[in-house]
Amino acid sequence: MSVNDKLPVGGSWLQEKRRQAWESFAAKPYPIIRYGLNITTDAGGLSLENLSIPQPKPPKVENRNKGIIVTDIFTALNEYPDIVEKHLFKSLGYAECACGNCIPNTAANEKFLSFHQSMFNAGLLVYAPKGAEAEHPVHIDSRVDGALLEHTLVVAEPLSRLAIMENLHGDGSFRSGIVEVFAGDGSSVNFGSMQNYGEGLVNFSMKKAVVNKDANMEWVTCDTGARLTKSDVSSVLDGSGARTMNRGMFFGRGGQHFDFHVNAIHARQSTESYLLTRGALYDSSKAIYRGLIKMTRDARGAIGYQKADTLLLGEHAEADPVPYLEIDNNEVKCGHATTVGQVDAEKMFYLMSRGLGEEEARARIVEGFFEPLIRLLHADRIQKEARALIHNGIMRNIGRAAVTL
Amino acid sequence: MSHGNNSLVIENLRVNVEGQEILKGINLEASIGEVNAIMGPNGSGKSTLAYALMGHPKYEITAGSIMFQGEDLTRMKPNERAKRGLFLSFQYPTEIPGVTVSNFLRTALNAIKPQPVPVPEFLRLLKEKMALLKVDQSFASRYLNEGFSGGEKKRTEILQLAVLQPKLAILDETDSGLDIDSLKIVAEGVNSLMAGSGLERDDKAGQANMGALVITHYQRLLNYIKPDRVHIMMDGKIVMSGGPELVHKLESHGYEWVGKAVSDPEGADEASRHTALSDLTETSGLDKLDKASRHPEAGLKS
Repeated sequence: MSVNDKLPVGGSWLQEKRRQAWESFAAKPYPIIRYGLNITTDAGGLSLENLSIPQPKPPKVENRNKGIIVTDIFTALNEYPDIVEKHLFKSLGYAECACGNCIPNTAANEKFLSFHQSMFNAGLLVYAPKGAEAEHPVHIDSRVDGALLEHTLVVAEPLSRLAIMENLHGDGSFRSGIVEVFAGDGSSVNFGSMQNYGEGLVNFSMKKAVVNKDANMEWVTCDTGARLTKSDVSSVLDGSGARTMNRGMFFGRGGQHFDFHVNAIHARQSTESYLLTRGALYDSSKAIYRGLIKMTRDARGAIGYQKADTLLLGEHAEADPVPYLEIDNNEVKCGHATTVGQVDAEKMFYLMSRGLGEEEARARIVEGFFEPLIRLLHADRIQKEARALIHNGIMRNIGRAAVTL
Repeated sequence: MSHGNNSLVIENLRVNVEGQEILKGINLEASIGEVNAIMGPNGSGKSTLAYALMGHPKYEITAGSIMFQGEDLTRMKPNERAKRGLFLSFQYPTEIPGVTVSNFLRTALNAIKPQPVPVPEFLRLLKEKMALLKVDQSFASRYLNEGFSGGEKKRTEILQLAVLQPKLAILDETDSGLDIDSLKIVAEGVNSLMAGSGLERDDKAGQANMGALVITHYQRLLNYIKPDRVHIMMDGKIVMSGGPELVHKLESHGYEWVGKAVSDPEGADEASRHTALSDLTETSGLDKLDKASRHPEAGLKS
């Protein structure tokens, strides 16, 4: 298969990038990633070369904001060529990355990333001009039907405010989604992603933000679907006073496998990052969490904190959370915590002593485990969606959790 | 009226915790409408009795039975006991993060009622009971017990009691950690439920709404919730039972006196002997004795 057979439209500069990416993809083996002793993420069963990628259906977009542009990425190539060419792929940790502080991509990511860059066939540009304020979240409803490679480019010019929520669903074999956010000086971007794919799908997801001076980047991810989810969420705090908050939730069942990497790179002084992740695993589902807070030499006065809590609800469920702190400056504050536990028998007894049945008591405790994180989400709609995803997941698992009483 | 139909009847209850026997044959009868106080020194098994009555899975019943209103609860799950009208006010209420007081109480009320309670009616009930117990309205949307002070936790326990309106409330050291004002509010709350100020149950007119089993180390709470019967526990057994006067005797003579009175009735001081001896006849050789003769007052009230 030649890359040119399949490539969707694109300007000549993009065609050239796609060709290079394809060569890079073809040269790399499929990764098997080993973590610790037990859990392995194995993408060996995939054969992306032979993947049949149907013509994508455009996502449903709801944008009730004046002055915020949301348009198909290929249309944008013609209508906003400068914006696209200036930003597309520029956050992804290649040599051209502006900040010079990016952590190198892992071999696993390189393989998928190259494939994505050469083949992405759908996506959006969301553009907030200088000072524009979105009153309502931009809502994106994206459905996979077979296979989909989508690229979302978010450019928030200085002092703009933007909230975006994507709902990801549908069935198929493969989905690749990359979100790049460029948050200009003093801007505020809130990006929420609610993922509920069918349980046969392999989901490669990469989200990356370059956060400039005094800008604020909030990520919310809620993963409940897909057979295998490989998800990276990173913020490069590339201007003084830049701040990121990352709230990740996941909910596994059956043989689902999650592989989360959450990163905050403090490239400038007085930057802040808070990475909070919570997940529940039923049956024999598994989750790997790797969190990194990197304090560079220029990060004087920065604050970073990460916490990952996992509730094991299945007899064969496994979690492997490891937080990393990399600190090259003495004048920073940095902390981390991880917990892995089961539903507490005393909590169960307390609720049951008030009349709640065993399943109902457990469901309340699991919902309650996520609720403090959901309550912190800004937009009502994102709160509602996250709550519904978790609730539906729990209700589907009634009767399947390991008995704790 | 047939015996025990309006009461909790505990017979020869033996309970192990992690393989060790803590309760060594408890016999007790507590009628709805009565306040039964269980007093005893630390480690005598009072809290174990509370947990065993409510069905905590770690408290293994090795012998004996728990009957409530003629029904055998001994093997029932905690939620089944709650549905039958038992309620435990915890000594150390568990924190449940992420579950609000209001949400939880509505779920619990619907779990024990045959019909779901409509939301407006529930909110009215909750508001009324919060006012009764002087619990700030903001607590309704706080996570259950999380970050509550000791006193706030205890008041929230009684708030739950007031909303769920059980037939028998087991109050496990409810006075510990309460300042005097909170103690009075809590006691008034319990007393008003005893008197039947709650939503009407399906009880017949003139019958009491609730009974209470008040477990306490000190007499403090019993100054405000007046007991009909007082039982003293030592080393996993009820060693003495009597009327309210027993509280004052304990307060002036201490638990050591009980030990002496039980092991050597003649050696106990003159003032105490009468009660001690009369109660000993009730509590010694329990296994052989017929229930009715043990607690003549209990069971007759209903």
